[in-house]
Amino acid sequence: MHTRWGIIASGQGANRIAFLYYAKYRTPAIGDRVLLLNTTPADVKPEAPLEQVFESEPGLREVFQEIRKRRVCIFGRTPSGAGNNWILGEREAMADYDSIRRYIAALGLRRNDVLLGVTTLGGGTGNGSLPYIVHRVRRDPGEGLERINNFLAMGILPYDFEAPQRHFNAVCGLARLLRYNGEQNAALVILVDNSQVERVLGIKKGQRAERYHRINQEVIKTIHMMIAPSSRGSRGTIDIADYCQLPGNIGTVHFAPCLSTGNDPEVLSLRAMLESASANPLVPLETETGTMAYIIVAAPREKVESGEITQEDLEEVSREWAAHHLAGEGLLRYTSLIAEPERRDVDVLILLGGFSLRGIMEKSLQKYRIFRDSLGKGSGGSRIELRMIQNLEEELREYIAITEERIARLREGYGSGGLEEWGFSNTR
Amino acid sequence: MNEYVVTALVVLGTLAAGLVLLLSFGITFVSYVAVGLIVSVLLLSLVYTWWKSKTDRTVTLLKVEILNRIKSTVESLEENLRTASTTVDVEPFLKELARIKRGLISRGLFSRDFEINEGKIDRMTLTAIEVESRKVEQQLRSLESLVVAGYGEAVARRLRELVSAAQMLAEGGFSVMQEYEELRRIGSMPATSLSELIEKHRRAEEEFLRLMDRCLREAEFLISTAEGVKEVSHLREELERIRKERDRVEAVYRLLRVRSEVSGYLREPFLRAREEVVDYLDRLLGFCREFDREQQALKRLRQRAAGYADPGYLAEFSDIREEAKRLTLELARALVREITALEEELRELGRSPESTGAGGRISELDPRQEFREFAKNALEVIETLHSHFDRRYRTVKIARSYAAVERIISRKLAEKGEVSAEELGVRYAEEFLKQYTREHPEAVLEDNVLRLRD
Ligand SMILES: Nc1nc2c(ncn2[C@@H]2O[C@H](COP(=O)(O)OP(=O)(O)O)[C@@H](O)[C@H]2O)c(=O)[nH]1
Repeated sequence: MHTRWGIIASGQGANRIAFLYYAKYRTPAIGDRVLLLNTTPADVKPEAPLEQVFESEPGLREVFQEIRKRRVCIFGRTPSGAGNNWILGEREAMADYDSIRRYIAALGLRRNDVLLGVTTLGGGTGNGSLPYIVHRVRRDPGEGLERINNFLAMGILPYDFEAPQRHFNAVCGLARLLRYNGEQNAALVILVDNSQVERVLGIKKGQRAERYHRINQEVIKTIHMMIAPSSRGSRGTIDIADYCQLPGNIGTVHFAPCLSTGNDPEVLSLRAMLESASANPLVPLETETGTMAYIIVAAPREKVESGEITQEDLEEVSREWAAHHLAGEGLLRYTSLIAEPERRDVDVLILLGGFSLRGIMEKSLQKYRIFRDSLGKGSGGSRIELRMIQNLEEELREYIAITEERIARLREGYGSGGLEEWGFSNTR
Repeated sequence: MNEYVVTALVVLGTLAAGLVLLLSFGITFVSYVAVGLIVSVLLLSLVYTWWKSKTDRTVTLLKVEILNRIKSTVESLEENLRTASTTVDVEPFLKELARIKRGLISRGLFSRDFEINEGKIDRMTLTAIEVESRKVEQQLRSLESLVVAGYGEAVARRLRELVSAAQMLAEGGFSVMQEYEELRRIGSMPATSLSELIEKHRRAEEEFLRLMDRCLREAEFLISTAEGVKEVSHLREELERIRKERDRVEAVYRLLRVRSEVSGYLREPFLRAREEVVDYLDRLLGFCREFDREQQALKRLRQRAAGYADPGYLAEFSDIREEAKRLTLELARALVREITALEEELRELGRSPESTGAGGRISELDPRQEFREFAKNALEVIETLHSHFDRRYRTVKIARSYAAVERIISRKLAEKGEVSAEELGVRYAEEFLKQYTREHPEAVLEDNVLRLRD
């Protein structure tokens, strides 16, 4: 039995991404299990945020009609939505959790299935609600819904140039996806940075909607590659349990996709493809600080069947690549080769994990500070309280410390593995 | 006796009745009745005679039919015996048949020339004729089964002979497998009656003649093929002699001898022709790795050419050579088509390739040319076209993958200040590095190692 997946997208940007994914790649592993959450004022059409997606390609509006009834959930009581205030987004989700829960239950997922939550981290609705929903579904889902432990989250970081509040939201959202009420929250947190994706794609100008669309296409490719090992044709060893359990046990759960698609297998060797992917992280980061890597390769079926590309080759190449690039030689590594018919080129996704969050914090911290310092001292209602912020900062600091320590430990290496501690003498 | 009594009684009764009538009614009345009676008896006897003659005729018809059946059975057996007489001795059976016939004649059923004796059979009853017919049929049946035993064996022997002769011819190189199989099929057909046996035999002989004709034609063709190589008129004469005796199994040996002699003359030219074509196709195949359809067709043709082992197939090679020319032209056209498409793609990728004039080169290939000349020419043209194709193919591939490779190069340069062609792990590595230096003036390429300019 293959693992089944579901996607929950909260907020406008996330709705666009999840819907586009559904419209483009309806793989059996996902079926129609795509749930769109939003807090639009009641009298406004739920598809409003999707208009720009509909315009990108004909026929998408019709696709939306297929899921509109069962898979679109408008939650919250405030007629104006969450605005840019994540506290509001979270409150609405708390207050309306029952109806959200019913929609999630209707996806019909079972205990060992996988949920992927998608949100933009710069906004209020998704950023406010998703961390709460993840927390509830993993710890206390409520009546009629099984606990789904394999709940992954994907967060889209705002552009470098966006306003301080967006970056403030992003830092808070990141902290809350990683940890919630002092506990680990999402099983994995996959990050994508808008500015970084545009750098990688070489997008320099254009309409906002069009730019989002191009970024979203990279994001859905990533999602597709993540889900692919659960589908037929997979020869790999990546199991969803591996995706989800190990990072939590280690204590660092953040990942960044490194994507290289459309590779010509007659020109690029597998090694070169991995290099090209790792030179293409969708988040500003230093590859050398990565401590974990999930490597997924989708290749033409005939190349796999003819033995030109094999799981063994891939593992060998991955090993070399990781040894060369990752902290501590990248011992934590899984590879999966997927053979797909009607494909001529090779797509590579490296989910790089445990890397130093420095790159992300560097770009947001200054704006975060600016906004944080402007917060008033008042309390109650939807106001953001300094006390809460301090808690979040504390959690994030702790998380960063664990990350950095792991990187440092791995870089130092383990030498003989500590044979002396076990009483062996140092001489041979 | 009773009839007379009855008649006498009836006469007496009638006279008595006449007397009573005369006494009671008078002469007039009685004479009326008497005349009426006489007239009605006359009428009745008329009707009766008509009816009787009719039934007699039906019986006669039945008799004739039975006798006809006997006649035709006897005659067909006689004919079958005559047919079989070419194969087995049927004299005793014919004698026995004559005896049966004589019996029939002497019993008056048939005339001397074995026609039905209509005058005599009227006097015989139907039953008597039926009994006679059954007896004769019995005799004929046992006679036939005797004939079948002897003749069946002879036919089987003859068929074995024909089949093995056919097999020899097929194995000797004549392309008569089909006829040989047909003969075997006829041989295994069941035949129980004499006429079935005769039919089986007839078909076998016919098929064998067909097979022989085919072999003769083939031999004639081989002799014509060999005409240019050697003096072969004696073989032609021999062939004519064989043709006259083609129904005899001995002819097979002579035919085989003719074939092997003519094959001997053809061997060398055959080997030369085969080598020439196969060699050419092999070299052509080196230029069509990327062209699946053309490659398949060429491979098939090569297989066909290389598959001929008997010099008798020499003539096939003129066909194969023509086909090779045709496929060459197809490959050339495919190459030109691809070159044009690749040039188009290069233009789309923002590079303008210099023109090759590839299309014009096809006109240099003239299939009317003699094969050797054509082949020499064609290999040259195809080679140039292929190298044009190869260069463009490679340029397109490089252009399409450049973005990915550029990323790797930049990364490695940033990491350690240099990149070598080998460590890139890509095909056409040197070209990629070269292109990189064109687009990044800060990098220099020396001995296949790319460095940042100091
Ligand atoms: N990649 C991507 N980012 C988006 C998209 N829409 C909005 N964003 C980013 O998300 C943030 C705004 O969040 P949004 O989803 O509009 O708010 P919400 O509806 O309140 O969750 C900003 O940082 C935007 O740059 C989108 O379609 N694609």
